[in-house]
Parts: sequence; structure tokens; C-alpha cells
Amino acid sequence: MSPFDKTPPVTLDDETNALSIYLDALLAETDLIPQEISPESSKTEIVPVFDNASEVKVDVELDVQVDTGGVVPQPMPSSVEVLMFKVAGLSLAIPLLDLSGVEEWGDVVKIPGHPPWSLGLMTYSDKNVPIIDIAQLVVPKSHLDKLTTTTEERVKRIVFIDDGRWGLACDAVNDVLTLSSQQIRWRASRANRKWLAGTVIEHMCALLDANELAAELSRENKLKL
Amino acid sequence: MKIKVEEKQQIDNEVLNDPIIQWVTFYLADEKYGINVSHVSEVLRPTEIAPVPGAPEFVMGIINLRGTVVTVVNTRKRLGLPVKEVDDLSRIVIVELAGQVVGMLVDSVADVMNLKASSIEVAPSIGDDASSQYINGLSKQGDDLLILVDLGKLLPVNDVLVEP
Repeated sequence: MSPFDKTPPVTLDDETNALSIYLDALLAETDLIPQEISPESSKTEIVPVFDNASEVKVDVELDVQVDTGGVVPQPMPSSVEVLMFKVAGLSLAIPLLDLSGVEEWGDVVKIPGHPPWSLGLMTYSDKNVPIIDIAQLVVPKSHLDKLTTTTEERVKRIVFIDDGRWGLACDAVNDVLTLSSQQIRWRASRANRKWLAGTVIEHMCALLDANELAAELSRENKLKL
Repeated sequence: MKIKVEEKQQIDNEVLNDPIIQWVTFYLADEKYGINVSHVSEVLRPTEIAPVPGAPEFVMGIINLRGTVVTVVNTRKRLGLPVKEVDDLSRIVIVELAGQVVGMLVDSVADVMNLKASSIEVAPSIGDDASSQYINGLSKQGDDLLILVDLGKLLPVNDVLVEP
């Protein structure tokens, strides 16, 4: 039985919700580190229509219980200052408090044997910092396949997180914004994609949880420092 | 005179505590690599390499070095880097390892560098690819990084040597 058989399709007519679903869909197609899918997990079938967002169809089973996925719930701040940046066409935001610095793309030394999402090492604050192509981890492959530029042509800046232990290669760094908590659609469930704190519909961007992102990168011997 | 003796002692102590190691450096895919000079016996221009059927993929074949048969390894292939055609800058670095002689084809040879042991940093190991295990350290050289290769892991003699 397909998910469509379980719940009748719902047509949303709210543009805000439609954009949110588009963003969720883009991010839902990939997991930073593949997780086993339990039968109880929610199922979502989404058909984003980019030029006519009001016609987005959604077939969704909602999580009955909120699963924090081990992420300790924090009181939501009334506002968050974030740095906006782009990777492979996707806008991401990172709280300034989690930001260690931003550098121009520089001498990144490729190390043999590293996976494709590791672009190499760069000296930053006297440390040899792994530079990660975050696009390869958070943007669906189907979307990446449509890009006409190579990673080397695309990446221009590096955003450092986790006290400068990681560098995230990005296409462009944009503005610093102050987002009110109401502007952020915080994720209730953090069972999967713990690095995704929420979405900001107004700016069509995903809000990163840099600490969880660093933890996932280091997890399960994926990176041994 | 006494001052000079004390200075010499201080220098001797520093050398003992932080020995200087010499590295032969070479380029592969625009990155600079180093191998311990104690293993390097000579550097050759590419010569005719006779392929050996059944040899591992990264083994290019054998050469005759003054009557000695030497196995030549494609270092790029061994490290999982894209293969490049041999050109005028290519060199075969002859190394001696566990009493055996092996040739390493590299893009070009750079120079010999003196590095203090304390300047060598551990390389972060990302992923499970075996080739990342061939790196035993990094050394900052200005804005660049020198990648130091563990020859014992890169060229385990039993894997590399082929019977002519």
C-alpha cells in the first residue's frame, strides 16, 4: 500500500506553508549520515511546484510524539542573529554565536583517500582544518546533478564552525540578519537531521545547528581527529 | 670561549630533543609530498618500463637499473589520485625499503627539506579509504602544507615487488 492509500491528498493553498514544504522536501531527501528508517517514522509525499506554490500537494502522516533525537531542548531565544550563505543554490543560515569565522577560498590541500565531500585541509588559526563540501551532505543528489558547475568552480568562501575545527565550503556569504523567533519555523522533531534547527520561510533558508552538524561529522569514525 | 661551549651544548640538546629530519619532496596532482631522505637512493628520468602481467594495478612494471630489476609504482594510482601521462617533468624516485629497491613515479621532484620533528603534525584521517592511511603527517610551509608519506604503508614490499 502506498502512502497515498493511507491518507487522502491534501491541497494546501497557503503560500507560506507551500514554501516551507518545498524547503523541507529539499532537505528531507538527504541525511547527513544515513539513518535506519523505522516503520513508525512519518511518511511525506511532496510534489513541489516552484512557479505555482499554491498547488503544492501533500500527503503527510504527522508525528504524534515529538522526538528530540537526543538533542537537548533549549528555550527558544526571542531573536537570533544569523549569517546567511549559499551552497549549490540552497540558502543556509547559521547563528553568529556558532560561527568561528569566514575566510576566502584559499589553499586547500587535497589529501588522498578522503571521501568526495572532504575537499581537503586548510590552515586556519594554526590548525589543519578539514574543509567540507556541505552541499554534498545536505543538498539532494538529484539537485546537485543539475548543477552545471563543478565544486571547484562553485565554492568561493569558507565558513568555520565548532571553534574552527570544521570549514564549510560555500558559494557565497550574504547578509547578517536578526531573525525573530516568530520568523523561524523551529523543528519539533529532531530524530533525523539533527543539524537542521529549523527553516526561515521569509528568506527561504534552512537554519543550521552548528554543534549538531559538527557532532554528526565526527560521529561513527566518519572523521577521526 | 666558555659561552661558545654552553651555546654548543644548548644546540646539541635542542637537536637531541627535537631532531631535524630531511625529506625529499615531490609533486603529485599539484600537492607537495615528502618522503624520508634515508629511503631515497636516487632520482631517474622516466625510462622504458616493461609491464608485468598479473601485477597489482598500481604497479607499472619493471626497469633495469644497472643490472638490477626494479619495480616501478604509479604513485598517483596508489594514492587514489587521477592518473596523468608521463611528461618531461616526471621522475622515478628510487627508494630502498626493507632491503628491496622500488621506483616511485611522481609528477616532478622539488627539493630536499629539513624539518624539525616538532613541526610535523598528525594528519586528520577522514573516511575509511585505505589510501588515507599512507599519510603519516603534515608540515606547514608558509601557506602550504607538505604531506608526509609513510613509505612502509605506501609500499609494503610484499604487495609491490613483482617477479620479472
